[in-house]
Amino acid sequence: MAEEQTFPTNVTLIAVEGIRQRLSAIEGRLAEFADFRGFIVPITTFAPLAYECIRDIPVAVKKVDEEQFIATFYDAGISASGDTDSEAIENLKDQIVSTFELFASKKPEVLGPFPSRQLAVLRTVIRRGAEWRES
Amino acid sequence: MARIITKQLALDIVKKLRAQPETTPSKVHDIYGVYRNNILVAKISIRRGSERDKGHDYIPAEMHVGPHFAKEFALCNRSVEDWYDILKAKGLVTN
Repeated sequence: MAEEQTFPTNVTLIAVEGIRQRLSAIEGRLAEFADFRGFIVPITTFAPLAYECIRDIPVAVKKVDEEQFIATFYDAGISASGDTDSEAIENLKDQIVSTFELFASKKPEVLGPFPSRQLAVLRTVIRRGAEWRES
Repeated sequence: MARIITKQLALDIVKKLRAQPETTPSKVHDIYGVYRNNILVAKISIRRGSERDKGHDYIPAEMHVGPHFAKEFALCNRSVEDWYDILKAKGLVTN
């Protein structure tokens, strides 16, 4: 008959300590994810505004505090805030259209380096819709 | 991340930069252009509405600076020339 095997106490303690450290590391990673408080969402339409998306616009949305979210279209360097995440995205659409019209209304030589770059990027994602052209 | 730039501070920034009101189709923002030697170097957008503590924490990005510089700028601890020095270093103004 086989003799019952038992682990020395110090080996058991070392194993438990190893598990505790790994669990602590996992908890730390989970806390990082919980603290991120942001997400990415595409803008696919400007309706009811009279503008069309040429392609989807990637938007990063971040929670600042309980009553402020910021939505950013990083390629064009345009951001907007709102009391809710959806309001921030709607306000960003307003900013994109307004920036596009403001810069497009200026002579190219009036635009500084960054506005010139912003307009070039905006022209790849937005255009006036048929409704705008007919009005 | 806590709220740093309120609407009041954003309005102080617009005033300090002597930004010009621009005509745009915006329904929710008042847009101002910042000109240096007749060149548009930046735009600043202010959310409409009467709440003076409404969050405007996107303004530092419009100024191409960090939130703490923007707040110090609004509170007059940084000058317009300090701001232009930063834009020059980033190649965002040419004169």
